[in-house]
Amino acid sequence: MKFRAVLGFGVFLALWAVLAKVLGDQILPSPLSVIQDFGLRLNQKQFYGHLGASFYRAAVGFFLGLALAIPIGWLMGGVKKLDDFLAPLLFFTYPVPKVLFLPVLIVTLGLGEAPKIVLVAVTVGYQVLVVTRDSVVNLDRSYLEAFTAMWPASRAKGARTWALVRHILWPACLPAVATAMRLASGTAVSVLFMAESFATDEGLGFFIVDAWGNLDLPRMFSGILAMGLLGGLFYAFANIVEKKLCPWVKG
Amino acid sequence: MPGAAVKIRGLTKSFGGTKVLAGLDLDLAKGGSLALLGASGCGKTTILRILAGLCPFEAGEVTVGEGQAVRSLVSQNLGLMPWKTVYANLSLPLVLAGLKRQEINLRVKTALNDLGLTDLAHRYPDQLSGGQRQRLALGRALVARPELLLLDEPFSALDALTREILGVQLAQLWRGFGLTMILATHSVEEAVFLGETIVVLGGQPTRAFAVFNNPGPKTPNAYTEDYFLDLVKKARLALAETFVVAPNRVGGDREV
Repeated sequence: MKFRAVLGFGVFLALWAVLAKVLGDQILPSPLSVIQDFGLRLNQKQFYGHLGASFYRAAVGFFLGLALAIPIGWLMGGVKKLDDFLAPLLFFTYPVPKVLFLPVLIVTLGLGEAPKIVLVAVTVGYQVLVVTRDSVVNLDRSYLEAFTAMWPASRAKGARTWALVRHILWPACLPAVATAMRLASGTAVSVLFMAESFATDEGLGFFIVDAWGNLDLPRMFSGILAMGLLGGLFYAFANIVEKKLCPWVKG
Repeated sequence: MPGAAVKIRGLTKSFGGTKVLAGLDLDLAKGGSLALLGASGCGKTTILRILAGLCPFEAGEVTVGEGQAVRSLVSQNLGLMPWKTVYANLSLPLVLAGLKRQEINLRVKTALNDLGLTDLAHRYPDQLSGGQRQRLALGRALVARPELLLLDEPFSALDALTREILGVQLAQLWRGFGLTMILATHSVEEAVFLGETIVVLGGQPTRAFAVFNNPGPKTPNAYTEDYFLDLVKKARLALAETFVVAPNRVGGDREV
């Protein structure tokens, strides 16, 4: 298993090296030169500035998206009237690429951190919102019924809502949310790239576009590698969430 | 944990314009056991859900004990939470009741022991056999110390032998705790074995077709006794009669 994983990477790098040889350094730098350049960047303070800025935007946007989408998903799934009101709007706007909102966000929120963070949050939030709502709508009625039958009539109604979220809604939506987080990790980084590629001088998006403009291809690839790793980090986080918080899910 | 007496008078309930129950009367003394026997769709589940407080009804009077008697329902599909371990499933009713951690641990450990589930405490429902899941559902119903235990087709998903063994265990628990028990089943043997009173339900709207009493002991040997077999025969004949009276009710509507 491990051997095959290493082999997979090896074959990929070998094909890349061959292609780089054929196309020449000016079009595709060799993997070795990219790794060398990446090593160089890791020793530069500036690079960490770009990396940190992107990580901050991605992380804040990611968690903001989750924090908003999950409760709204519960509400939509649980309150029929609210769902009738919002679901058609949600499904109509769902296929619209969220990156199209970037100009709108820049106009309304300015050029600072806010539009970039909000764009990531909206991208992640949409995916998570849809699956959270669906997980409540499709929840097996027998769980809700068992919960209702168990709930002592003497206890307060507010406590009931909280208990319902804690014991039923939260665990029921977690596996789907983890999957949505995995899917969103890639799109979140790609919209972040778009957001960082103009009107800013900080972030990996800027770093990549700047290197591109200077035809410094190894530097550009270093930026691409860093951004890929950033996406991978969120992907890994989603995996950890699933493993640690959903131990009942098989495989 | 004393049982609660159950009194139902004139219970009326319709689904989509069809009267399922029209003026049904049922009585059960403290600590008694009642088996509701009938074909699918005869309203057994509806009666249990009404008794559990899960289902509104149009008319009639339903009294369980004095006021707010604790009732536990084991539904047909058990309603075990797949995301909770055996331990967490068992403790859920106690957590919801707001009991102290110490009390919860004590009661759950006792229940695990009573049901022979101690070694499986950290498993999830999907990792249990059908019989183990059934015992877990029964345990979850009992930890809340109900005065009335309601069981809807409790063993329908199990093989015949496991059903009998669990039936004997259930009878022991019922006697041991002294609680009142009502179970719905379409198995004649199960109804006759577990019920002190067996009510055969049928017709449209549903009424009590026949009532039998089984005062005999609830031990494994009972299954082969002449009086038991005789009662099974009588109940089966009564059940067959319900099919003749309202054949299109057999298989019934989905009770939602």
